Amino acid sequence: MNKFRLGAVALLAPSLAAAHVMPGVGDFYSGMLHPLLSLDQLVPLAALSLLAGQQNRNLAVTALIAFPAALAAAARAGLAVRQPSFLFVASAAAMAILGVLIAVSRPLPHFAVAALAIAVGVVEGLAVSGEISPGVEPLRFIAGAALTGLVMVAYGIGLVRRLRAEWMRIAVRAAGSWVAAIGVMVLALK
Amino acid sequence: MRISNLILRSRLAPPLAALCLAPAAFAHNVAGTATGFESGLKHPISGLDHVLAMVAVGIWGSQLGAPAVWLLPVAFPLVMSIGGALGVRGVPLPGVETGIALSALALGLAIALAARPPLWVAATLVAIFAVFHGYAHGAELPHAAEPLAYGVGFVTATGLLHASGIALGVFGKWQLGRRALRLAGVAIAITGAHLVMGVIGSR
Repeated sequence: MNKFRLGAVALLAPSLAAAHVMPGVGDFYSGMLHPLLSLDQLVPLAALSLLAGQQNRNLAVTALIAFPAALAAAARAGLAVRQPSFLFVASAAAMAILGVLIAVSRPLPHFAVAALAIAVGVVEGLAVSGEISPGVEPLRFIAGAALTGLVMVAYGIGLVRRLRAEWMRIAVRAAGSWVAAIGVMVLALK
Repeated sequence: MRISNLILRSRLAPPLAALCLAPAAFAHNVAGTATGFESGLKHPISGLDHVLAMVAVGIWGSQLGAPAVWLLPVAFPLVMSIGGALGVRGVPLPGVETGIALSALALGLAIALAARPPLWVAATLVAIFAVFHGYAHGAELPHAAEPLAYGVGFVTATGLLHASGIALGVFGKWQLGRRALRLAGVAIAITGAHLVMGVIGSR
């Protein structure tokens, strides 16, 4: 099992050296890396996954499906339009909202979780489409980014739902307050 | 068993491998992000006043016990962000340095006396100090190479300082540890008083 894990790390290693769209990495893998290499995408994605993990199973599944679907749809639609200028502000706002909700750690209505997952997915999808330069196969790139979104949300849900110790659940809430603080300050900058 | 086999079979093997491969990350053009994160991470630990106050929040929270031990580290960044936003926008806030130095003095005294005020009093006190600390960090944000990375860095450092304070609070389980923590509070308060005098003297 450990050898498999080591292999997985080795497989991930080249990704560390890769930028957004890097020659030799391949469009699908470049797409996979994209949400992980930009903090303005990684932080809201991580926050959404933690929030989904705090909710009940149905809501977690909703976020798990809605986020990558919205990301893929928005990325595809974004190819036809110019990248909006508000994406960074939207990411910061997402951090602030998601962070506060994680810190509060209360059950949310179904529609709220779905709306948040879709909103974050749309913002990240539009950011993904902005990275697709000529010569990149869009569908492969988008599929890679959507897969990373799916895996990240699934991982966050699995992580939070496995936490049993009270202090660990509080640590997740503290992490949420950190994310909210970052979002508020970056918003103030804009 | 050979040491190499032990390492390979241990749970630490994947993270160790990832660490060994980490330099590859810097081949990617994220210089702005790395610099921003690094400067953000260093900011709270570059000043003794920040370090003492953040660790003191954790220790005092531990002394107060649940729910304060959890409430303070969760509430602190949220309130700190308000001060940070004021700093980012350049809104004048008088006595920032004095407030930060005072926070070390007051929190050190609270630990030394093992003070147990009502939760709302403790939370309000910490929140007021959080605004000053946030302001100082936020004022640096617009100058950062990568503001978002800077924000992630300094919030992470602040949270880790809180966590180290809470971890030190574990010593409070033992009589000797409780005394040691109160002595640490005395040391923090004395240093805080020295910092306050320094700020006043520099005017």
